Amino acid sequence: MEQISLINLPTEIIHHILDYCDTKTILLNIRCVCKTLNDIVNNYDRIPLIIDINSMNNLEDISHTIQLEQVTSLTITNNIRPEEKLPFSLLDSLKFTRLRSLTIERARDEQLKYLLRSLNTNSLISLSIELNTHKFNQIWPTISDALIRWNLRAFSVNNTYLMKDRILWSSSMHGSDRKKYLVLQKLQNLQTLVMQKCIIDEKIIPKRSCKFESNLMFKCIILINCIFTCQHFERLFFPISSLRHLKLICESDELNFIFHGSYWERIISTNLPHIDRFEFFFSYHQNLFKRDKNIDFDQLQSLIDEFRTPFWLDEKHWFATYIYNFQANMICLYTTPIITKNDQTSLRCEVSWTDETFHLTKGSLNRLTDYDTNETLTTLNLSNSSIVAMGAQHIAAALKTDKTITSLNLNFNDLGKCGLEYIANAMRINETIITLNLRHNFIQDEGIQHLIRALKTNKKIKHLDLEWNKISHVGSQYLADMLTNNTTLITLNLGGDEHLIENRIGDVGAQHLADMLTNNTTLTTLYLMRNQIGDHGAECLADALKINSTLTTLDLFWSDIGSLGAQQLAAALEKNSTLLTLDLGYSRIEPIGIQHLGAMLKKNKTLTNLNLECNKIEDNEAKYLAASLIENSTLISLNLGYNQIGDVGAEHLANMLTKNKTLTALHLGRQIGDVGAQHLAVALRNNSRLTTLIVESNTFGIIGTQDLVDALRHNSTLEELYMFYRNENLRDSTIQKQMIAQDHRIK
Amino acid sequence: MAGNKIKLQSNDGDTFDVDVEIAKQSATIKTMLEDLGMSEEDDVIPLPNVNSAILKKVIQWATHHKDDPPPPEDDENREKNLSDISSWDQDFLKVDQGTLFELILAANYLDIKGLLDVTCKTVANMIKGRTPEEIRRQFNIKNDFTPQEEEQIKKENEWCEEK
Repeated sequence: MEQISLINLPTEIIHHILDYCDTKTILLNIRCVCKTLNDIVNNYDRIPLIIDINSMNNLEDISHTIQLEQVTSLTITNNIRPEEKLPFSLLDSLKFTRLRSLTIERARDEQLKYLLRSLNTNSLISLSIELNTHKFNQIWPTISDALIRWNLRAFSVNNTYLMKDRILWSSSMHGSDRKKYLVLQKLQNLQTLVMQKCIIDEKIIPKRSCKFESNLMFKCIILINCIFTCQHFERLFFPISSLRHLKLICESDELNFIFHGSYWERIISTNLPHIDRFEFFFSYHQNLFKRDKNIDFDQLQSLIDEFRTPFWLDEKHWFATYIYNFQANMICLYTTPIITKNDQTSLRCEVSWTDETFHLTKGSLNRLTDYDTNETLTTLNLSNSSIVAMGAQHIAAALKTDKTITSLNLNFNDLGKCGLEYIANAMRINETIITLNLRHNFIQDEGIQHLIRALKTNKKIKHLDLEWNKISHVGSQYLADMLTNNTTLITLNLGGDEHLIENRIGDVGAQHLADMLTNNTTLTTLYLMRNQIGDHGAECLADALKINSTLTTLDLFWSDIGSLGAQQLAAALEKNSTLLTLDLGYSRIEPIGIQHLGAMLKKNKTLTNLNLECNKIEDNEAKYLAASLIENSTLISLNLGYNQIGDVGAEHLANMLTKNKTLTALHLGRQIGDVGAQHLAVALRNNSRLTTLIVESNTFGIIGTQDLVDALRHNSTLEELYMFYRNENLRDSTIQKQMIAQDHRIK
Repeated sequence: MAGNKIKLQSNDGDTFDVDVEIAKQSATIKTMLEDLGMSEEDDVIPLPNVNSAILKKVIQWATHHKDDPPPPEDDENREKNLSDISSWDQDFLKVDQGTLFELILAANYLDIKGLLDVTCKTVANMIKGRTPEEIRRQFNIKNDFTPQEEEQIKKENEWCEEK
């Protein structure tokens, strides 16, 4: 049998295919393929024509290509900004005799008036106008006259500015009587009405209910972002008993009547019995400034219950879903499926009509989620998402049943002690979360109490981040007491606030934690930076380290620890054989303390990372440390940046680098000159272990730089060489750029 | 409901047993059954315009879509959403052009609106974004314009090419 080709298909079928093509494709491409298709296109009478109002003069040219009688759908847009006024005239001879659908977008007022008055058509059934005017009152009479003249079946109106009145009214244009009449009553054939951004109130609805007895055609009303009260809604819609399709898209800043399924159930079954299609998308944005007026969570849960009655599920088959959108802090109720601009796929908490369980999901709104086969979320990242107590309640509700999320990141939100209580309560039940990040959430000591209660029963959380939460020694005592018997938590971050110095754990808090460390055998990582821990706190921690044999990381960055504390820690580490990382950066350790640490490095066989950035290390201490490191064979990374090490110190360290066989990363600064750089260059030629060398804020110039760059040619182990200059002239200079270009390892 | 079957006969003589409810997606068959009073039990409905291979595909499609809601009737607002072909339909329509066109003809003859829509959409998707020459190649169509005619069409199109 001979194969059928496209051009052998019956014309009406090809026309059907053309229905799914855009105008450009039809005219520019399909029409030019061959004579057969050319004929078929020329006979096609459903061409959707889209033209810019400012090129209406071209219509005469257009009429050479397509007969305007063929056009059934016309869209007139305005892509020119209002301030650019172009001359505009519509040829009188233009006859859209078969035009059925007309859309006018953003036309200027006088253009719109002109179009509505002069368009010569009797066939129009659908009109859609997108306005962009403040002077709605002036333009409306022209629109309503056109509506009545054309006797439309569908009318859609949308305005950039809220339409405050008149939308259903008109006043007669002539004479002084200015009699008002309701346009709806005059439009005998109107079936579909779409209103966007209208205020429906007294101005557009008469006090007494209007009657629509003659209007039995009215079937469909769509309201998008309109504002109305239930009284006005009822007054407008109850008389339209013929209504079959109702679609409402509303935003609200209060949980008013529209969110209540029982309301809709009542008015639809008693007053609008013929509605067989009811679609809605109601959203409620919580006003953050009214945060104190907390909404009762049970009340929110009951919202969805109202849409679970037999009326919704069995009789009407309208299925509503409740969601809470974390980022937008927004509650939505909507029927599935719905087409709205809000079809985002951001992370949300969802309760469908099928069960009462809160689910965390980020699939499409319209996808009927099968939660069992749902692409499972294992990480819930809601950091920096303005989560407040209400968001916490939703997360908590979902986490009580969730079985897949192992990591919850709520860093940098605004949970407060109240929000934390919800999360903590969920953690008493949840059995999957392993990592809980609560950094910067204004938790404070009171919030910690809630968390403690949860952690006493929770046996899953291994990593807890509580940095930057205004926790004082009181809160740290709660935590210490709990951790004494806890056998789950591995990582705890109790770092202090970056800016405020009050509410830090201090020496007292450090003492509590130290006591805990003598008993706890699970915790491996403890961050205590920025907590104003001084020598006494360091001493307590040091004593604990003599006993503890699990802790591998202790972070005391930016503390108040001086030489005395450093001495105690050094003494402890001569005995301790577990700690791998010690951070004492940005402390107050003086030369004598550094010497103790150096002595420790000779004996310790475990420590791999030591940070001594920004203490009081000078050439002499550098010499001491260098001598220690010649004997040490465990330390991998040493940070001596931002100290007072000069050329002499650099020479000692460089000398060490030719002998040490373990150090892979060395961070130096701040006073090294060309001579020091030269020594380091020699070291690089003879070292085959170092992979990272950072020489920060240095005083050496082009000579020193050149020495280091040359040395790189003889070194194949170094992966990164960072050079930062104190000399402004060298920073970002062309010389520097040239040098960087020589070797990709130079950063 | 279940079990009520009718027999459909293709133009190459094969007979297919089909659930009445499934067959009724074809407005043509529905009319035959209801208006012409054919008794469902015994009679065979002959479909002289459809061969066995195509009829089989049509029944497969109708079976999959048997629970679909009826398509909306308001033709005025027909939304030309091309992306809304379900993935099942996309897979189902991964066939050679000849089969696709025969399916269109069968859907047209049997008056199955959903199938006609989705097949026509598929063809429209094959056309969209292609130049005339690409369309010719895609559908194996000869360019039968004379150079003068081609020039003329180009001229007519100048107004909408300017953007």
